[in-house]
Amino acid sequence: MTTFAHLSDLHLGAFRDPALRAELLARFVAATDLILSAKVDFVIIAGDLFQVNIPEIATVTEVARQLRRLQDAKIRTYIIYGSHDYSPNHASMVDVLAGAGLYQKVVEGEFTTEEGGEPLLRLRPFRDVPTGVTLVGMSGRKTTLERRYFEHLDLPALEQLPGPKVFVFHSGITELRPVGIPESESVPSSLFPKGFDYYAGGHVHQRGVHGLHGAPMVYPGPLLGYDFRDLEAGALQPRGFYLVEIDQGRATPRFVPVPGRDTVVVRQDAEGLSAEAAAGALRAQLEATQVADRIVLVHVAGQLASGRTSDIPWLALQQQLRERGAFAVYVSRSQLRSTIVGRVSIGRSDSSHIEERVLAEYLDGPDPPAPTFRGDAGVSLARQLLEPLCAELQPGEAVAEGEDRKIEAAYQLLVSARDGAAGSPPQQRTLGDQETDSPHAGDEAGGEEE
Amino acid sequence: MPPTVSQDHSPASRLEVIAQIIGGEHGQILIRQKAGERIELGDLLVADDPTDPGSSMLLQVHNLRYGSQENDLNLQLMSGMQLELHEGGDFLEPQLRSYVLAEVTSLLVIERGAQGHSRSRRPKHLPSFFRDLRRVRPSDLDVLTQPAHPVFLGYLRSGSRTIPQVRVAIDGVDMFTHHVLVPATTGRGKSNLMKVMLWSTLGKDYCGLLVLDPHDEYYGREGHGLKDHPDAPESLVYYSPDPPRGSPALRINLRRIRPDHLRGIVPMTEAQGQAAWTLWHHHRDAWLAALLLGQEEEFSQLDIGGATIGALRRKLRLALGVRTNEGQVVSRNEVFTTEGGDSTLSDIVEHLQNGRKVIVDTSRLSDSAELLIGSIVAGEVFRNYQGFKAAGRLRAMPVISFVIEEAPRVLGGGSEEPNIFGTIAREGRKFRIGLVAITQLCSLIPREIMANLNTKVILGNEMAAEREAIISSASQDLTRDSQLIAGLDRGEAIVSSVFTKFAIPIQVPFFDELVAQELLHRPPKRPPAFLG
Repeated sequence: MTTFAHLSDLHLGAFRDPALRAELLARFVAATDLILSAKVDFVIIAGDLFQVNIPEIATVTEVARQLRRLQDAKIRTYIIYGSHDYSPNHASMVDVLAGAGLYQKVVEGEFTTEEGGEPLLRLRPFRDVPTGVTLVGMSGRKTTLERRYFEHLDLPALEQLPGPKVFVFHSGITELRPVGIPESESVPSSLFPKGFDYYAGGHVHQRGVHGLHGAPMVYPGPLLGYDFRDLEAGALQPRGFYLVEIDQGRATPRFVPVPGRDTVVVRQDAEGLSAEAAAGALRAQLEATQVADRIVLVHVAGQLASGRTSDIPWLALQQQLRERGAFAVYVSRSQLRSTIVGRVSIGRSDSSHIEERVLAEYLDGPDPPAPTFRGDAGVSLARQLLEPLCAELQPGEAVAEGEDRKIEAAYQLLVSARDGAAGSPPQQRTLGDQETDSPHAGDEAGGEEE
Repeated sequence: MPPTVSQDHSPASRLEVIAQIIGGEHGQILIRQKAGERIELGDLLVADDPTDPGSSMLLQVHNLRYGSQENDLNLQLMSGMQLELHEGGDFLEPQLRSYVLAEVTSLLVIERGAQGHSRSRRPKHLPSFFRDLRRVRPSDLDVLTQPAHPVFLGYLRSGSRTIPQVRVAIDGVDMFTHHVLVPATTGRGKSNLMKVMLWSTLGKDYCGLLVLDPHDEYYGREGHGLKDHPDAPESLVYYSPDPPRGSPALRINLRRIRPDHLRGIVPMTEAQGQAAWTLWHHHRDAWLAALLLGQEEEFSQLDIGGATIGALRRKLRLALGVRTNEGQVVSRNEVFTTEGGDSTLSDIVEHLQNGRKVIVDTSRLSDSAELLIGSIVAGEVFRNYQGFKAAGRLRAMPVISFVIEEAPRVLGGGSEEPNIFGTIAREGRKFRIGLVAITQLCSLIPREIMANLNTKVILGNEMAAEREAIISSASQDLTRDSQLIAGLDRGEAIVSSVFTKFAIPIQVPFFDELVAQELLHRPPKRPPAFLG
């Protein structure tokens, strides 16, 4: 009998709040402890070990330490890229740690084309020698670009591989997709090879055991996640990983919860309230909530009857929670709206002048998008961003490549602006870091307030 | 109909003349066939006006008979001489003595101005006596304009002669929103016609089409099909319980079915309907699971009788193809399920509203299950489009049409409860939603609905009652075309539409040949680089 641990979507290094970053790492350490005590044969990490392809060094150091503990216990670790830590040119910390021998990346393949036929992608099988289990992996990419690879998979070759065998992937499955996730950001089950004993999934943050081609297909979900919705979901459902036993061609997954700090969610409906009344109601709710050593999630939504969203004393409310011992405070107000709408008026017809005035008046309005965009520097940054984002495709450039190039250029501008403003060393990111590749159902990105 | 033909508008030369007008009346003109020529039923002929070089009249042959200068007794005598005495027995030159007469109807008057402008109108006069007739030339029909959104139906046909230079097409926006009827008996090329029609809509986002395919014949799982269209990857979505690679499986979560979806699809007594709604109010989207798995006591508490529940369960198990086993709902066809399939119906709606063509393989489903899927999607689209109209956004949305085989199942007059398809047939046009109704038995469709199906692509039909139903609701007067319709060969059709100036005879091309042409010119695929 073979036993392995299946984790995914760890997103290590996520969160700007150091407390949440630390909690995430602590859960990873706890998971490692549980894996070690379970004496598994190997570990599968089905993508998104890291939040970004180049995370901060402190995170990498701790991750390397935990992987080393597994290695010292003769537990092999197998991994694929996820959509967050993917790098098309293998410039990811995932590759660095693989190069250091801390784990094996199980994604390799090449295209072949027979005369007049369709191109076929032959994936290389990897064998865990001590157990004889074969692993085949398919990395996740931003906006499920890996679907193109799935469409060309040489399925018969994979289906003929001897068992026991595990298919590792980082994609949503079309038929299991909740309402709200675009179909284009998923892979239909018909593109998956049949005959595998276990399908080790990642990318979908809603934990679940499903069936695929007669075998278990499992999404472990994150240990903590990387945004408000993950934290919120974690308050309702335990987070953890799966221990899987394969015995005589039958895989049996068992969920193992990973301990962590409690999360409490406070919701305030501000619909029809004045900013002052909304603040009062929220304060009253917070005061009635046990927050000590807990992660406190504050979700405020609705259309204010009067006042601006910024009239609610966010910083003071958070400060009060921290003073009462809250471990971390995370406020989502992306669904809070103000009725005060700035009117933009322009007098000249010169396009660059119009652009500048529109941006200036909007960014100076009641709800500026972020501090980075305030003042003249903000207007200048917004105008700079327009240039790469409006750029035409270059000759011979594919649409996806063009989009990647635009996003990369825009991102570099944003990073430079942020680092310049904060005077802090840059957190390195490259393509694939964008947090737009959400595995959540129909959610908008939750706002984080510090 | 695209004017992609030579611009030959010269009057008929003597060599071209095949007949001459010799009598008759408006709507039934009598012509004499020239010796050595062969005029067929359905032939399109042209009478040029010698006094006005720009004017001509298009006519069509509806009946053929013999004419002779001899009386019957003489003809009988001549035949006897030939048969018994082996003598010629001709009293006159043969080509003058006996001939073929044809009854023709004037279809269109075409007038060309000096600047090359042309227009057409319905004929209200008779062409002059002894007017020469020639066969139609492709250039005669360049007066018909190319629609903005052409749906190709076939090539112009004159009798049994195909005129490949003239492609017959109707504007898809008009045609789909005003409903289409394809009446045909088995083996007359109905599915070939549908594939040809659908092929020309792929890659065009002005229309979304949902095809409920009970024979799984459109996608081309085996052999050629719509999947072979170059725009199929972006434009075509195929759902099947057993999908080919790349297609999503047809899975529909039972939570997505509401009692009102069953209206007009699964017949229910009043008590059963009330029971369904009671369960809905108590269990919301888990009502079907509650119905199928619930215990007797629970139903008693809700004041639902055991017999009612039993009957309702049987009906829904049969309709949905599900059974229960150890407290679980098990799907026989893996379509209606309790796991996954949450977004399938909303995906289909979204595809349609994005102008895609969706084929649903319903070959393994019961009639009710097939219609249930169509009904849920159609209902959702209808509600959405009502909303778009109220918001003034309807014009920006693609038109949507539902292709339904054996249409009398939902459009027949027998159903006690109305269903969404009947509503669409009556009101869909206002919301840019239409039906493509395919049937062998259009006589079962109420006249009111038949009259609303404004384009009829009529294939061969031997059944007189069916022909009568088609003819009596056609957009043009086809009262003399009954035999013509009965005699249509496979692939031959007549297009009668409010959007055509006359009932156009067409030859539908073989779909396989259409695809083979396409595949011939397709460049080989280049593999992408693998960046794993």
